Amino acid sequence: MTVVGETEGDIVSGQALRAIGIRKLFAGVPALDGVDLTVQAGKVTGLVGHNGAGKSTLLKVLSGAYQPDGGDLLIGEEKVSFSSPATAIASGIATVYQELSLLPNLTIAENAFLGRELAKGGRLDKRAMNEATHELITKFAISADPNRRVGDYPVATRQLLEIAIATSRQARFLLLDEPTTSLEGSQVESLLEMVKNLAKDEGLGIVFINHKLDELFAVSDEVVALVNGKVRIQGPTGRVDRAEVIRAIAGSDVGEVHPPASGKEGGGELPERPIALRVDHLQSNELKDVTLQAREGSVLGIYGLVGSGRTEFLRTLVGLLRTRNGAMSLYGSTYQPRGVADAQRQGVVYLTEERKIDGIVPALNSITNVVLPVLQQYTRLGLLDHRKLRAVSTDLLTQLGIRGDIHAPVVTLSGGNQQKVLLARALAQRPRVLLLDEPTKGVDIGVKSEIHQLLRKLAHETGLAVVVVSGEEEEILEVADEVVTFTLGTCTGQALPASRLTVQSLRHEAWNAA
Amino acid sequence: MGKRRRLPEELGIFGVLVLVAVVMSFLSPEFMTLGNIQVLMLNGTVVAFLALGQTFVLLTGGIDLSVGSNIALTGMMAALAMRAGAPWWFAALVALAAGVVVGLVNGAIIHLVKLPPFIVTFSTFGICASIPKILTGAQSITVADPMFAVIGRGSLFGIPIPVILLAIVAVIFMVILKQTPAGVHIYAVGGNQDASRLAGVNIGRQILTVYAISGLCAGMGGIITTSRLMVGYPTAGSGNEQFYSIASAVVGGVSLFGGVGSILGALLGAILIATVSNGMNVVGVDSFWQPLVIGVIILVGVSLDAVRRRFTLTEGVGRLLNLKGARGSSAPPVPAEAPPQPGPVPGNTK
Repeated sequence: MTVVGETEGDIVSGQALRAIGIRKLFAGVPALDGVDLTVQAGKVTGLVGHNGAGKSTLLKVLSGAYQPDGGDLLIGEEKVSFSSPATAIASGIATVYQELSLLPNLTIAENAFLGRELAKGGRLDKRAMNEATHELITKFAISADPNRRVGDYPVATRQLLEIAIATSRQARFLLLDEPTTSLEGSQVESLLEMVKNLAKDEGLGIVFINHKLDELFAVSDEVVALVNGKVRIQGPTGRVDRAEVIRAIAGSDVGEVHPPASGKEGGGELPERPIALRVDHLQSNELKDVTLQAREGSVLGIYGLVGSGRTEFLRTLVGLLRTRNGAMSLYGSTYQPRGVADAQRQGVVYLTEERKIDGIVPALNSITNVVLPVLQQYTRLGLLDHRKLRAVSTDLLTQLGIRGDIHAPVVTLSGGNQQKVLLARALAQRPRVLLLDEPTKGVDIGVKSEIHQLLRKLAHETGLAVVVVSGEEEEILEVADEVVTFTLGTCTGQALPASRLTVQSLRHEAWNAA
Repeated sequence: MGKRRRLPEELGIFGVLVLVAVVMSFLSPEFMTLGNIQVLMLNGTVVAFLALGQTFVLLTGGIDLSVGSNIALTGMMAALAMRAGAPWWFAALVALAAGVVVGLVNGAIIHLVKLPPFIVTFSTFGICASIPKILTGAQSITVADPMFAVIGRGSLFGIPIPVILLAIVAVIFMVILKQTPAGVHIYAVGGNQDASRLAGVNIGRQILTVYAISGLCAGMGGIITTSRLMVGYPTAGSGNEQFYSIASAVVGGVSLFGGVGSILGALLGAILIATVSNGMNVVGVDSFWQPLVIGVIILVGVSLDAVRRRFTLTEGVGRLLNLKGARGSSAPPVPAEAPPQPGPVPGNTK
């Protein structure tokens, strides 16, 4: 293989990277439970698995980001151990993570030679670096100028550059974590082409993690399916049955029956309720085609894998993202929110997934955090009616069973209690439609079931239309009356009663479309 | 619902103020005389006004570096208005309006073009410094109307009028910040802008408001400066006023990171700076030393702020959360694909 700007030297090709019996524990729980994996030089190994199956953990062990708690790593016959990503890179293992890591403010050449710049007489040899980089990107058929800043190029080009540059650092093995997530159509094609060529022509051993089975099967020589930290299926792509892979991934909880939620009514009669929010063929930069209905007095669960557009959909519903096409209506009248405040006025309230990023205002106390959106409603002659605000806020917080000092900055509360503060904030706005994005992310099990019960009660007893987005099947089944599935920015609007669904059937649906 | 009483945050700065005053009065018998206190207060009012305006801006996480030359601009506007025959009160209104316009320009550019406040206000500082010189050919403009002098030189029951004005404005500002929706929104925007937007807060309106208020305060500073001298100077406010105003707010506990602070704190900070400044005069310290001492005070104040944020809010809380997280076992039975980093990411600090 050719290496940019470096002597080719003693790279031994044709050896395999092998993981044998790798174990990795988090808080005593195995994330990887004796995984064997062989990455052959010149071959693409496609790695697939559900969220939490251990794909990323395995990738991080191979790339030196994690140290395994058991098992061995071998390159050829030689045992290796990586104390850090730097040592893995030195051994020829290049990793490209989902998040792009090239520096947008530097040129492509500067990125390619970052930390190993070529110099002549103490001065940067820009020409040599540009030429070498030019050679590199031409080889990969990327149309870009080495002398221009990375930030000037679209994400798709950056993704290709990322891989090209990673391989230029004397890489023998290349680990790719969902490299096609932010690409579409022809861009995906050229990336897959590039991956195949890297294996065939350059002799690299490649691990390709992807959620989209079509792509995975198209590019891989070998398919490995991880289930609960163990290898469940392994074999040459031609001999692995796609349906079998889906069954393995989806059916990982076989035997686990969905627990009947307390006070859950039977399925059938729910669809009779009036429609609160109706979305028809909604399209935007983030969504391909979304149709669904949320009913009054009922909880609609939206299930989807990461990147399915579920979060973007909720954000579109409160005017944070623009729509391009399609129709939305609220209780029969056209609904086109201009922003969060406008959505609020019409009774549509959104609770964010990222509590710390755009949820709480950390330095303010819980009381103020709750009433922040409704201050205007509690004024007398323009001045705040603090007593009423405190009463409203404390009342809601007490109902939600908050624990902790509500007069202290909200950041001093635990995650679960912070989530209750945000729930109280949502309720203080007296919504008609309540949109919740991963409402129990990072809260403990006790609070989790409290929140589930609360949401069901709100819907069934006060007639609120509740929409819950979650990637956790158990949560969806526990909290929702009806469930729709998002895949790749698409939702058909076909709602199934949660009582007729299982963890497997949900996963099956999400993966089948992938 | 019983209201919880906490020690006011401003107690610390008040203690420092008392300490400095006691030390100064030991060093010089002159310090604690009524005459000197009047001089101290009077000299401190312009800086205090600027500090009040600066407080609003700092609370949103911004900074206003244009107030110094805005004094010259607004003071000159008042002088020019009176030379053109306007009555004193109209001239004062012209000055305030000019100050507000400068603030609105600052706020609009910061919000709409999404530029860092310090770049924008630094630029308008230059613009505001030039305009009075261009208008008058760098000449000073004498003011004749004796009524205008009352604003800066008069007194009521022995209290200088500027101090009375300062007190009135400070009370109004306290009410705005603590008792109106806009006030809470300003704290929220400074505390977490993204969260505020999601809560339906109109970010742009708050940004415009705070810079307009800062401009208004600069206008008050301009009026008082021109009135005390009865001359509009094109170079007024080019001294330490701006520097001291930021110092006042910061030592008064207003965070440079936004979201934390109070009018009372800023006011006490301004009095402290005025006391240190006056005390050094009275004791006979060379005036060259004053900015150095104030500079050190700012550094100490800001460092304390940063340390306090890091240790109480972030680290202390982070540790607390960590413990709770571990005990409450927020981890699902099967660990998430990307297990939590050791120690949760603490509050969204900018």
